[in-house]
Amino acid sequence: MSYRRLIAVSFFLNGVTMVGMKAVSEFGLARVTPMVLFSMYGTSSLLGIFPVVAAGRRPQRRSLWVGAIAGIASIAGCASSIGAAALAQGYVVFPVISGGSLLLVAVFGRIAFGEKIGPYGLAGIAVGIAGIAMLGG
Amino acid sequence: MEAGVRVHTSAYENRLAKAEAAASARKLSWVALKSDLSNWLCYTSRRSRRITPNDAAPVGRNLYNDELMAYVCSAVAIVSFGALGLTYKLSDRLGCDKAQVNLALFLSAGAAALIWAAATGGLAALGRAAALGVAMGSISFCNITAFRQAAAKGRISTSWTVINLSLVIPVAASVFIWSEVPAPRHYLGFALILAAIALLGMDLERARE
Repeated sequence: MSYRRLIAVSFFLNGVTMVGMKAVSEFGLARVTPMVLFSMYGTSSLLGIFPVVAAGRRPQRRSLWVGAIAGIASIAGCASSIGAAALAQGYVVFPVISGGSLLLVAVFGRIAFGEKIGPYGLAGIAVGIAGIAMLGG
Repeated sequence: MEAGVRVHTSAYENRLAKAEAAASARKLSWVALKSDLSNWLCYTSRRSRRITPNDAAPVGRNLYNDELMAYVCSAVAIVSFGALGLTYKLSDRLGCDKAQVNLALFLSAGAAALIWAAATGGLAALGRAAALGVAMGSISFCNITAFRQAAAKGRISTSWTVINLSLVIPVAASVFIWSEVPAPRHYLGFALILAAIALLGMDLERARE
């Protein structure tokens, strides 16, 4: 599959995943969010076994630790997103969460990893803050 | 004009009235299928205007507190997804195997969700909850697989930018499927967010060159 098709598929599927978070409350399933998340991550776990087995590499302790920390962050983010989408408008929640997390990664990437932020990055951070203020204000 | 009857004079207010009427009609069609609490959750999620403390709230709920809780949930989500992004950066720097990181992510998150469900008594909630979760999990896994292959074939900065721009899909779904009505400033804020994503992507591409 070509790059364009792969990125188009990923673009669409990423958007549909976020629609699913909104659908949890729209289908009246907000009270059983833990079950929805358990089903989601459980399915991904079963499917995620295949690439690991196919790669045939020995388990790396650092990979497992980093993945475990990422998992806690992921479920906290998903649960909070579902809660926010249930309580507020989707056209506010998703841009604020997506934009805010990207800004956070950009800023903390500079602090924690010493990554340089160029003029485009600084402009992006400023514009992003303005956008979040416009949406959330 | 009778006292207390509001005349919608602006185009925005007309659209607002139509959206609220559509939401009410949709709510009535769901009554036969859902419990009272589920119907109430659907109604509160279709609010299409800013709620103030003076608004009348359903019995037992304060809609103004709902909006505050939405801000709190959004802040927690921002910090959590930001931490997730930083964790991925850390995994790249440590030379971790991506497939193993993803599998450990899914397993640890699934274990946390299982403990949460058991603690809140939600394990018995099968049916639609499990079906939606399975669908989201399958889609999420396919998304990650496609993104990894795309990033391997093309530029990671371009791929990352395109993926983050996919927030247009849930925003479009909110407007066209669930009849939410953004105000003009929301359109401007959304455009600024898209511009910020594009600028950050350009900065990432410059840094890698």
